[in-house]
Amino acid sequence: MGMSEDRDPSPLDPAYVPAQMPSRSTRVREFLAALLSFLRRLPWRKLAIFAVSLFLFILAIYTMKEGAKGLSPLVRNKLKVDNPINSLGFGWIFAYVVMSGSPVAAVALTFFTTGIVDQLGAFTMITGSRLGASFIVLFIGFLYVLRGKDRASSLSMGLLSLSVTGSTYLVASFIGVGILSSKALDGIQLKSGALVSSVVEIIFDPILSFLSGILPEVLLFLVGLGIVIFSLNLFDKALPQMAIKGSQVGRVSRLVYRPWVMFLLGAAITLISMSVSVSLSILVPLSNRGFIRRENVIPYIMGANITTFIDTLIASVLLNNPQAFTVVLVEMISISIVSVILLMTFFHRFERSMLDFVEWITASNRNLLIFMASILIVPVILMLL
Amino acid sequence: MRILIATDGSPHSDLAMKFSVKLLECTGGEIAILTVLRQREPDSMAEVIFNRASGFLTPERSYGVRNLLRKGNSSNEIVREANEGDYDLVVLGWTPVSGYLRLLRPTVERVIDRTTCSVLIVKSNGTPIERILICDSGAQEKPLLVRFKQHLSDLFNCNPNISVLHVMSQISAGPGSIGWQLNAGAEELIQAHTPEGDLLERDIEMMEKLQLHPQPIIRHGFVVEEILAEARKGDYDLVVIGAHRGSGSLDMLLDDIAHQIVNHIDRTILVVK
Repeated sequence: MGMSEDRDPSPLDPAYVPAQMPSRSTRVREFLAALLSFLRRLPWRKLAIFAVSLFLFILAIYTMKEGAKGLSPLVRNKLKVDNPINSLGFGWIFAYVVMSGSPVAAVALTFFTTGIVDQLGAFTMITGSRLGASFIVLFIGFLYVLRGKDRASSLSMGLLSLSVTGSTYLVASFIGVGILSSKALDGIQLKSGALVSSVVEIIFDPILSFLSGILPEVLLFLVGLGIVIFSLNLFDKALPQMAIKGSQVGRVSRLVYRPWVMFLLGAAITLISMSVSVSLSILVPLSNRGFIRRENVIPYIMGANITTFIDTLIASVLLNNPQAFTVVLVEMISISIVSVILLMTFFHRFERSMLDFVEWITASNRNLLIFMASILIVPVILMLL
Repeated sequence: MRILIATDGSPHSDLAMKFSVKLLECTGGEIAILTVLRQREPDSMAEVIFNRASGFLTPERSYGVRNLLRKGNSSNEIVREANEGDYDLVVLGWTPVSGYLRLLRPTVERVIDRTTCSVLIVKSNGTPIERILICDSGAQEKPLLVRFKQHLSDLFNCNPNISVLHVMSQISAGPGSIGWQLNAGAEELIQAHTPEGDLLERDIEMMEKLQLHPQPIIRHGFVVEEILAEARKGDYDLVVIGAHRGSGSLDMLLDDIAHQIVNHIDRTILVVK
């Protein structure tokens, strides 16, 4: 009796041979092969860039903290940055100079940690840094205008970013000052914050000791500032390619999304990019013509303005200063409150007024000049108060 | 054409009846007049409502008229009859709702969301349909005019003046984009074969097969605002829009432009499914 070729052998058949379980060594080999395949697919170059940028960011924070002590005479006595209002102006102008908000926000925290500014001063300096941060988008658009490109299409996004940021932060700053003064959030802290900073200090103390041995404090601060700017630029190169273009949300140039969807999208993308200008620049390749629907852009900017503080929050943890953490938390919460209230109530009126304002600015060179003059003069006036 | 008219004897329902009668003069077809009473209301109320509605019918014409009475929730019963009765069109009068009552979702909105056929919301007196504004977003897989032609092409029997509107609410996402398109007119965009121009050209070709010659219009601004502005400017008798793309993830992601237009427009509007 033999097995039929047409049917599987029954277990009752004497010739039946049960399938064997793979041996332990085979299972280990299969696991290693899968692991190797996974490791090969990882973007090692981007991960390396991310690791280096993170290392440099942390180094920069500690370097600036160490060097900030030497800046006290300059900042407090010469520049007279000694109250929340002139701190606002200082942060604003400083962000213009470095063309970015995040380094200035990190500086604000180091100044606070070293006693150069108080808690309210740090808060308003960070607010000022957000107002000045939008300038980079505007500046790039301005270069296009000088090259003869259409004023409206070159400047709209920058102007919109600045207008939305300015108007929401203006209101949020009052709320934030109120929350800070009430000390309602002082108890909310990261439990592992001290542990993280102590572990990090072990790694970076030797480097810091070396640098402070060879550089004066002011130069140390400037080196730290340079490193933080470089590290944030490097971090942008480590960002994963945004895969949203092919998805439902990738049609922001054609479809009108719910304001909440765009708000959360702006917050989510900026949680990864940590930069509003990078999050805005991502919108350009989403349409091969570089368009976005009016209805989609403002809630996107509003969401981005909240999670852009993530790197500043990390900096506050590294500085091991609970009150600095509170300052950043209050910034995030106050702008969130304003944004949510706006989205739930008179959002369309706000949207309309922002776009009307931008249209007014781009309507003529005269209006553009008035606007540019005011965003340069106002922070200077604030600094003089 | 099979039309279902929902009426409750109110002045708004009277407008819906008058408009439907005018519509039937162009399209021909059958009417079903549906009244939904609450459970406790006597059936005799329905007879009063039917008689009032029938008073708007032109005696000289013969219509296929059916009177239907249902009891229960008005939106549920309208939707049930519309979906089971194989109608081409549901006609409703518009009852303005304001303030916090909007949170309760008016009957019109629920009917638009749940019926499978197109819904006509009558807001103005029953003027003849001489000017129609068709608002095509171009965003849906099945073009608006294709859906319109499938079930509602009889509306064109009156040879109305037709305009096809597309609203470009885009702005530049960054410097270096093709700025001129954001201010261009319909003819420029059609000649340049931009996506918006191609959309209008496709719509024009479709209409020309029906011996109609629509005027293409492009407006730049917020979608809802520009549609309302164009409707007022052109003094259209009927505005046609597509229904909200409402299923699954798209329903959650996309803003419901159709409801916003229905709520704010001051003239009769047709929501095409």
